[in-house]
Amino acid sequence: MAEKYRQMVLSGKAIEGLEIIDAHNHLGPYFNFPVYRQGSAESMLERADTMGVSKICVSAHAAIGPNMVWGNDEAERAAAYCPERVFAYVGVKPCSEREMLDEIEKRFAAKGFIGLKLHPGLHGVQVADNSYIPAIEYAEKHSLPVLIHTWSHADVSDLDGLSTRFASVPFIIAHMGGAPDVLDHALDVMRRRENVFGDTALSYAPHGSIEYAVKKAGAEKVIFGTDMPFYDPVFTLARVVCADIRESEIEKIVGLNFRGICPLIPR
Amino acid sequence: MTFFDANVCYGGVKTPSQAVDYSLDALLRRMKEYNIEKALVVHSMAREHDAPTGNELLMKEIKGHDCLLPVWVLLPHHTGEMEEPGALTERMVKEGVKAASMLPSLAFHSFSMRRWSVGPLLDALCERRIPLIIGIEQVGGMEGLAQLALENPSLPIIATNVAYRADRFLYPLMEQTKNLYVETSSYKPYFGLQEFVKRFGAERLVFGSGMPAVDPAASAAVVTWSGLALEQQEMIAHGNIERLIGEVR
Ligand SMILES: [Zn+2]
Repeated sequence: MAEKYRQMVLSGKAIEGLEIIDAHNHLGPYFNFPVYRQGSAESMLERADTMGVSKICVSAHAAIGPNMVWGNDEAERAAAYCPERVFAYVGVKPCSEREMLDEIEKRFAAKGFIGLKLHPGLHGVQVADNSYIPAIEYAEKHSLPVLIHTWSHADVSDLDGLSTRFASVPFIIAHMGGAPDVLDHALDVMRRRENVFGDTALSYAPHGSIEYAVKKAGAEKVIFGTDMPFYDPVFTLARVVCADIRESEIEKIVGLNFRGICPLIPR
Repeated sequence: MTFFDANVCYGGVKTPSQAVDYSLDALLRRMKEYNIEKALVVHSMAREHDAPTGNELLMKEIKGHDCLLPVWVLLPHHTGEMEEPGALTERMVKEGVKAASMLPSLAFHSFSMRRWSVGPLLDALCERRIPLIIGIEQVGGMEGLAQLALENPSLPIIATNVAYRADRFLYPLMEQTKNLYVETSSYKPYFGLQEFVKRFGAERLVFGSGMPAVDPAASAAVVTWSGLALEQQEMIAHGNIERLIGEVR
């Protein structure tokens, strides 16, 4: 199964015959290191074409950093740049309930937004911080997926709790817990909680990890995401399409699972 | 695309991942699947147990596998664990060793990479054009790599574990050195290879899979989906490392 995709990777051809949606992207420059080509939507689509990705879902670095409104403006422009391929998460920063809801409502009144992105790590708060609750209630009311950055056991435990309290909200554990020792914890929550998924975005490429995630949590719980343009997206797609799993499982991971929880992505 | 892999290891490790097969057989199988025709290989025992024992095991176990070229893990000679640099490098060349590796960090073999400690050893490697493959985590990051490369300007150094956040360190260092090469399995900035090649050419990037810890599919894709011209990809995938180890004398 993986063999035909392996040949596409080895020959440098874009993957054919799969609908591939990248559910975890960023946008724009970043303070800590250079993001070439300004991390623009245009440049990301060039990268997406190289590997055969049809749609990308961005949240702006600025929005998960110091300036929520600035970042969400950028995300809105990115989605408008290519509405059939670029979609956006509203980046949510801890603030007053009114400010948060105004921002979210304003964005969903515009076009191109499909979910919420929380980055508690960069904002110096816990995943279960009370200030996020109005945003999650909004997601509950409007059937939106919530993508949450995680990097520790505490993050995953918090997300476990949130997913119990908001059982109809699809949560995506970004990076499946991130740190290697958190992976099993994240996979356990993904397996137990029907509304919890995990994405594949990681700056390194642990051998066998896709197979492992599928075995422990089920292929229906793994979602393809790359963190582009934080770093190169291509190696994460290669990990997924070359994994020793069934073709039907690859299809779920690269597109079907995310479609299932993200109704605002058009057919 | 076919590859010459500058960064593989095999053999059991102290803290294995459940998802990884560390055996030599698994390595050989993966190499076939990913068109990796040759690989520079280190034994895990040389890293995690005893360097001389691991190097010896390596020579014994890879005998007959023409696709595998030995890399020895070296220690400085001062404590008598390895012979004097000149004798050591002579034996390396005689036995067909194509590159050296060192793990000087406190958590590994714990010695200084400054000239007062390993100067004679590095000079001996240099004299025989034996490339040194070294992880930047072993030398305290990019600052330590810079010191090593600048203090030993003729020693071919292949740096591994150079990560996607390194470019503000890496670019000035590449500009000021001629002896530094970057192994690609961890080097994954966004459009990173294109930007690197624009400035420094394709000569100073060397493919490594990072197996068994790293997924070879990922490492292959970094090159084949780099967006670089095919001839530049070929240099990175195998040409550069072939040229480098071709100089060993
Ligand atoms: Zn991210």
